Amino acid sequence: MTEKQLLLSPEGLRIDGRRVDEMRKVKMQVGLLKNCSGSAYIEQGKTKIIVAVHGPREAHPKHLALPSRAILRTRYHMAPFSTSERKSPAPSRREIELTKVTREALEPALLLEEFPKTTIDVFIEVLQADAGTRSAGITAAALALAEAGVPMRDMVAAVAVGKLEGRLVLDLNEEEDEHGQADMPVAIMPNMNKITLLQLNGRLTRSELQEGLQLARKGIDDLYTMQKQALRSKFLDAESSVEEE
Amino acid sequence: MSLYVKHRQVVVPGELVAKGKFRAGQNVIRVGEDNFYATVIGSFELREKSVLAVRALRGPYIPRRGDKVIGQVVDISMGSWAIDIRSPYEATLPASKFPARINPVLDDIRKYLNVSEYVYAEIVEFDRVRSPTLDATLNREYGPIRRGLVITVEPTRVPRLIGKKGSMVQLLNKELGAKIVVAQNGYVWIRADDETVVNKTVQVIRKIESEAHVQGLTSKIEELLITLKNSDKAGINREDAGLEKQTKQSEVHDG
Repeated sequence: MTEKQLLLSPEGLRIDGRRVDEMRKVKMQVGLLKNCSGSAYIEQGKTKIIVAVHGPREAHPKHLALPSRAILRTRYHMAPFSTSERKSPAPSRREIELTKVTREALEPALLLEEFPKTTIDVFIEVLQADAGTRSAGITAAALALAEAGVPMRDMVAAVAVGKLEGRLVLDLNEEEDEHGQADMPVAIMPNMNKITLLQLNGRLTRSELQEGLQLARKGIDDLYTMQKQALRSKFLDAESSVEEE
Repeated sequence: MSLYVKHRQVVVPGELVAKGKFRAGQNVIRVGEDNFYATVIGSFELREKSVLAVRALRGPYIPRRGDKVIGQVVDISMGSWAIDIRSPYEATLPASKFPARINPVLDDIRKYLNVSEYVYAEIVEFDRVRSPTLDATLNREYGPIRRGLVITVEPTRVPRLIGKKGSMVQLLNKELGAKIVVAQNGYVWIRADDETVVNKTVQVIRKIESEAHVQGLTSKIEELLITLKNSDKAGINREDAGLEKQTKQSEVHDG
């Protein structure tokens, strides 16, 4: 135990030098793919994810279509080369679960009633995994959906909160995730102030949970600002594109 | 009553556009008592002093009754054609709404319009329960497209290509000597006797599409047309003028 490296130094710095409430460096890009309705790319530290959205389009097989609204289909998938050990390309138990929670994190934000009998497909491909892939995937998926022109009540942004050496920290990296005491991914619709994803791995007290949510909210507000910026920079040239009827 | 964005400012989904006594128009939702949020990426507009609307910059073509559209035949059944109109919803053209008398029982409707062919028609029916239905008998110009070139443009750019009350299309028709039909769903049908005229038209349309955001585009295009015209009069070889550098077109129809 004496050899064990502290995940949080007494000065309050983490192994990669970040403070407890500091996120990793984030980069977002919108509209980089051609053969889909919308796409986005996100880098959060060493985590790299690309997202493509198709639709709204006719649902196939037809029996899946709903008469009242569009269906949302997601796929969270990790590339075989995304981890240090090759990951089998077949969807694992974990990926199937993340596919489900991602869909449920995005669904409340979408106005699916506007496109009955259609489907909207979201493909999340993790290119490089360094913890926080589900949250970064959700953040990027919301961007890609917005670029596709799918009407949304609000954007969605997500980040994880963890616990290291008894203190709450924002946006875990791989090492912190593996050796830390807790990992809590949170997705929020920032303007509606609604939580759409909340998972917890490890233990937190009630007050820690409250505090953790506030910390996540802070990170999500920053992510939301970046999302807006990424979308705006893509569409800025359109500022006056519709001056004529 | 307060507005948070300017007229024609680009807004993103979830952005608070106004608070107070307004009405939610296109692509705007009201949350709670008086908060109004944009639902798509687009440019904000205040209409009639109290209606908040966002003109979408991206998104699929959503059929509306009365829209003139061009579609491609994808399937044929007993008495109707299934038409792809570049929308999430597939359209139907009944044989009875084809501008020629057909008896679907005796005749094979394939003879009149086959798979992969294009047709120009009007949407006469579309709602939540019915898929779009087309009618090609309402106007003399409707019917199968047998000659000319059909190209695609981004559906959100269509209003720009049409111009104010059709000013842009009229300008192109007049100056280029080609017949251009801009369908609401983003198909453009070009007819001309001379192939170089068609190529030139495509070039101008691509220019409009890529510079749709430029202010005063109509006059700019007017200038471009005049230079093109003058270069013709001067007898410059069109190939030398670099007009052969065309982007590959998706579909050409001759006949």
